[in-house]
Amino acid sequence: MATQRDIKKRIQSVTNTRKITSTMEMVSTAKMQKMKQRLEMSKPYEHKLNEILSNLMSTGLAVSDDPHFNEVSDARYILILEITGNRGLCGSYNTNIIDRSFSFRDKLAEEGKDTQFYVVGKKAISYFNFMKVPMYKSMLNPENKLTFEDAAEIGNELSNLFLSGDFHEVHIAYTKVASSSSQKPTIIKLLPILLEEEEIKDLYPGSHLEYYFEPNPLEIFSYLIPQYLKMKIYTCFLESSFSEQFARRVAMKNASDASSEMIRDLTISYNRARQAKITKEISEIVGGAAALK
Amino acid sequence: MKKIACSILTPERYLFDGEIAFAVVQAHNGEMGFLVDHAPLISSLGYGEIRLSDAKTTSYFVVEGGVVQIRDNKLIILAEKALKKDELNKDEIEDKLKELRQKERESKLFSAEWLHILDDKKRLYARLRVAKR
Repeated sequence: MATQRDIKKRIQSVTNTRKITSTMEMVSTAKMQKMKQRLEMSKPYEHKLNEILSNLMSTGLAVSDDPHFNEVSDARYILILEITGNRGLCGSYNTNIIDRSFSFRDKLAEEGKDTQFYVVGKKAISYFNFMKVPMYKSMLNPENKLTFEDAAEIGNELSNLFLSGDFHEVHIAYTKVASSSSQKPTIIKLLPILLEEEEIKDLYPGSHLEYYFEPNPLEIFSYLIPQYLKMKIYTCFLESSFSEQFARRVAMKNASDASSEMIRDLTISYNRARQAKITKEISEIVGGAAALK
Repeated sequence: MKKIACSILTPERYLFDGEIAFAVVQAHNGEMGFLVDHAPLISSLGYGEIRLSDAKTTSYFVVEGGVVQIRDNKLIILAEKALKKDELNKDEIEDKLKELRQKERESKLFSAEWLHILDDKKRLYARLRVAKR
């Protein structure tokens, strides 16, 4: 049986671990709040952008002429933008998204399509290297330093790749925020653009008024489309970062809870060991006294 | 009195939300004013100033590209980048301008860099104008 001293040492070390995990929990809670704020700040812009775009489409503009909508009938080359975190200790956050995109790739491979990855985040990069899966390109996740310009740069890069015909489809694999308490890995199609007209119309009924356009609808449209893409990428990044912090918070909370539980059990066995020692000593004294008689 | 519900949005933040009587924005080739009951319109924006006037006060902003939409007395300004007047510092901008002018002299005419500098200069002039208000 473990001695009192051994148990005490273990209690101490678990307490230290708990201190670290609970601090990390608090840190990621704070970061999560910040991300949430940023998400809320950018939501209205996205909504209005969609609104204006749907207004433009409902004016009967020949939008399908825009090259961003060009669907290649026999799409062969697919690019997936994979957004993961730079750090671990966040449960299955990173593995979930990687698993999701690998199964997506396998599905595409069955259809005879060739998939490449544009990887964001240190964790995914090291996993890809470990699995010896080639990456088209890789970069670190800018995390909370992310600005709209960063997203814009990626957006330009992706749409150039699409427009030049290097890739026939571009997808984003990220962790979608379904609600503030549930996130799940998702893959969406970025290019060619599919505006869910029905969905937009439901949201903004009766938006088919005639507008004046300055300078002309086409020019505004060709400005808004890239903006729409960039916005999409930007929100995907934000949502991923939010989910990462959320996953980390949950993981750290579980760890803290588990260590509390462990400390409780250890304290009980510590007290038992102490009591056993006392009992033993008493019986030794009593035994010794009896022998003297 | 009827008013215009105005909001200025950028991808990163929500800059302004409130009711105003009169708005002037920098459209792609000149300023454009909006009063109550303006016809539905969508226009692209240039680099320049936005003035939102209420009965008593006027607030100033600077925008750098974007679009504006008005309909049913709702004015939405979707800017690529926008700043409030209080966020601008006149001296800082002037310093930056000086730096840019220096760079402009050093760079080759009509090179990509030169065009980039011109663009930045335009932005700074717009900012300076608002900062001086």
